[in-house]
Amino acid sequence: MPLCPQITITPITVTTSGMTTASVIAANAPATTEQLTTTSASAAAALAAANAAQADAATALSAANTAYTTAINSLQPSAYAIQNPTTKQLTAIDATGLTVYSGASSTSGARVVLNSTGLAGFNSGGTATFSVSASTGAAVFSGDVTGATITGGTLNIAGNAIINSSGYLTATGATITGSITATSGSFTGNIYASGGTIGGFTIASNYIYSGSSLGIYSDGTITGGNSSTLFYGYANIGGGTAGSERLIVTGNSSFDGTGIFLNNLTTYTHFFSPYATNVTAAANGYRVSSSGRLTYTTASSQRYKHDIVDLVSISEYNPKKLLNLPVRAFRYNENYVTPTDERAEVLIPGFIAEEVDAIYPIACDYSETQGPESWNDRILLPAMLALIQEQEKRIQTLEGK
Amino acid sequence: MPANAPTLTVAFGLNGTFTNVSADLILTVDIRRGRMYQDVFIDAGTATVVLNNQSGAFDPSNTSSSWYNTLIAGMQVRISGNSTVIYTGYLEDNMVNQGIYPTVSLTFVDGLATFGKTIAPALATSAYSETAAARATRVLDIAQWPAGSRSLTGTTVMLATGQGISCLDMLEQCANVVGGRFYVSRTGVATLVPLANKFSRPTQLLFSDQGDANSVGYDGIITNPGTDYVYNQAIVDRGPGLLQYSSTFNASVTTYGLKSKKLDAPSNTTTAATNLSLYAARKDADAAVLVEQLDFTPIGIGALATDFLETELNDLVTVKRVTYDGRSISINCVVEGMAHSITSDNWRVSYFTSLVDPYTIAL
Repeated sequence: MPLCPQITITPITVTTSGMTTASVIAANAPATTEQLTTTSASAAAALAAANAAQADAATALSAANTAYTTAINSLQPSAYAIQNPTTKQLTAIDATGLTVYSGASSTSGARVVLNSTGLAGFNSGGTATFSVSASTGAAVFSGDVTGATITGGTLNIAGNAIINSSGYLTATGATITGSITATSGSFTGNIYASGGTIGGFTIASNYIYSGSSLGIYSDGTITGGNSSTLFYGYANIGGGTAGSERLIVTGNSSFDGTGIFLNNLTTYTHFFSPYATNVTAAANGYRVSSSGRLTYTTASSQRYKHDIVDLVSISEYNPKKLLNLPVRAFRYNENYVTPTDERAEVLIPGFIAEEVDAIYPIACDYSETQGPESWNDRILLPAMLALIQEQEKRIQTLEGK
Repeated sequence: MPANAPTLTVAFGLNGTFTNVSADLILTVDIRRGRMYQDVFIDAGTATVVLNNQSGAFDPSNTSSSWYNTLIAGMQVRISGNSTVIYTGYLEDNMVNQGIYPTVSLTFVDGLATFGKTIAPALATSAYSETAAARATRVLDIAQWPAGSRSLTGTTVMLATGQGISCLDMLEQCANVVGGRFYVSRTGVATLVPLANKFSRPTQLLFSDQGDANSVGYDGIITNPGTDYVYNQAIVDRGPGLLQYSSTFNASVTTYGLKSKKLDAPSNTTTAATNLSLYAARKDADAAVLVEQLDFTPIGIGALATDFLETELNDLVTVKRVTYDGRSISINCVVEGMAHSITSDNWRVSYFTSLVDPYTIAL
C-alpha cells in the first residue's frame, strides 16, 4: 500500500433521472432511402422474424415429408399383399399360404412360407434352408442350430453320433476334442486319445500317467515314484486263489538278472515255498548257496561231465574218511531260525560243517567271508553210497567165506 | 544522476533474456505512456534511449560488437528505476549519429503500436456473443500477443463487429463496452479494466506545494476549469444497421449547451447499451477544475520513490495546492498519462490527469 492517504470514492449509480434517452437504427453504408426513412422497424427484429419464419418453414417441410412417407407406405401393391412400411417387405396371402418375401416374386428368391404342411424357408437363390413339417414335426435345418438348451428324445448326427434321452452317447468313428467332464458313467467300445486327461491321468499316445506317481505304458511298462520303472515285461502272479500267492520284497531285497536277494534270511527262512505240491522229476534242481543265493544245482547227465572215474580211485575222496565224521546233535542259535519253526530250540541231529571240512572237505560249502558254512549232501551222499557199496562188498565177501 | 535519485537501468533483450546497458553510456531516456487528454483513446507508449556510441557498439552493422544481432527489430527494452520496471517496449527505430560525438538513438514502442498495425479479420460466428474479456483475448491472439502478458476483465457481452478494423480499434470497442480502459502496463501486460474496477485503484502519491507528510513536491501544474471536457450527451454506436442508444443529461445541456460524444461500443444487449449511454452522458456532464498536467522531480523523495515508480496508468493521485490568493485546494486525479525525461543529472516527470468521477452503472 502506498504511503500517501488513499482517496475514498463513494460510487453514484447513474439513473434515467434528468435524462433523455432515445434509440435509432444506425444506417448501413451506403445508406438507402428506405433505410433512412425507417424509423419504427427494427432490422434486428426483422431478422429475428425472418429466422422464425425460416424455422417455421423447415418445420412445415419436415411435417410434409413425414406425411408423404406415411402416405406412400399406406399404398399396398395388391389386395393380397401387405407391405411393411419400414422394411418394405411383402407378405403374400394366396393359395400357397402365407409368404413373406422381399424380392419381386412370392414364389422364388428369399422367402418364408407358412401353410398347412408346415413352415419352410428359402434363401435368395431359392434353395430350401429349413423346414418344419406340420404333420410329423420333423425339422430340417441347413444351417447351424444354436441355443442354450435342446430338449427332446434322441439327437442323431448323421448316424455317427447319437445321444439318447438317457444321456448315452454313441459315437462311431468320432473324434472328440476338448474336455469331457462327467461325475459318473461308463464307456463301451474303444477310446482313442492322442492327448488329454481323464480323472487326473494324462493321456498320451502310448501311455497314461498321473504326474510322476504312476505311469502305464502300452508296451507293459509301469512306472512309479520318480518315473522309475516298476514293471517291464510279463508278470503272472497267482492264477490260483487270491492271497495264496504273493510276492513280498522288503528292506534292500531285490530281484535282478543274477538272482533273488533277500536282506534278512534269519527272519525269512522260507524265501521259496516249502509247500509246493508240484515238483519236477528232472535231475537238475535248485539249492541255496552258502552265500544265501538260490541257485541251480548241478545236473547228473553224462552230457555235462568228463573225466569220469570211480570215486574210490581217488584217494583224496576215499569214503572211508567219512567213518571218522562225527554225527552230532545240536540246537540252532536263537533268532537263527524262525521262532515258530518246529525245530527251533530242540536238539536235532546233523553234522558240523567245520568237522565235514576237516574230514571230507570236498563236501563242505564255504561262506565267502566266514569259512565253512554247510555240508553238501549231493557230494556227501554219493560218498556215503560208495562207502556202503564198499561195505556191502565186504559183507558179501565175508558171508561167502 | 544525483545519488538520491532512483537508479536507472536500461536493459536490452531477446526472447526474454535481458542484458543491462552500461550506465555510463546512457545519455538520455524519454518515456511517454498513456494519453495527454482524457477524451482521446490511449496512444502507444514510446521510449527513446540515446546512448554514447563512440565505441560503435550500438551500431547494428558492427559485427564485432557484443550487441550485434541483438539490436534488431523486435528487440525488447526494459527500463527500470531501483529495479522497478517503468517501461517495456520493442525496438522500432535505430538512428545512428556518425558525427563528431557519435550517439545512437533507439526508439521503442509498446504493444499498442503492434495492435494498431494488425488488422483483425472477420470474426467467426462463434464470436458473435462473447464477453469483452473473451473478445480482447481473441484480438490479442490475432496480434500474437503473449498469453502470459495479459490481464483482461470484462463480462459485458459484445456483438460481432465489422471487419477491416485494427486490433487496437477492437480493443477500444472492448474498453468502451465495459465502460473502462485498455492499456499496456509498464511491465508489458495488456490490461482491460471494467468500469466497476475503477473504484479499487490505489492512490499512489500525494503531491503538495506545502510539504505535507508523505507528499511529493511539484514545480509545475496546469489546471483546467473543465469545460473543455464537458460531454452531456452520449451516443452508443453498436454498428451499422443496429439500434443506437443515446442519452442526454438535460441539466448540463442547459448550462453548457449540447456536447455530444459517440462511443464505438457494440454491446449485445439493449440494457447494456442503454446503461452505457446513461453513464457516458453523466460522468463528464459537470465542469470542474482539474489538474491537466503536473510536473515534478522524483529525486530525494526517499521511500516515496517506490510508490512513484510503481504508479500505473489509471491509478489515483491527490494534488494539493494553495492558490496565490490563499485558498487551499485538493484535487483527486486519475493518471491518464505520464512522461519521464531522464538525463545524466536530472529526472523530470509529468503526469497527465483527469478528474476522479464517482459515477457508475451496471453494464
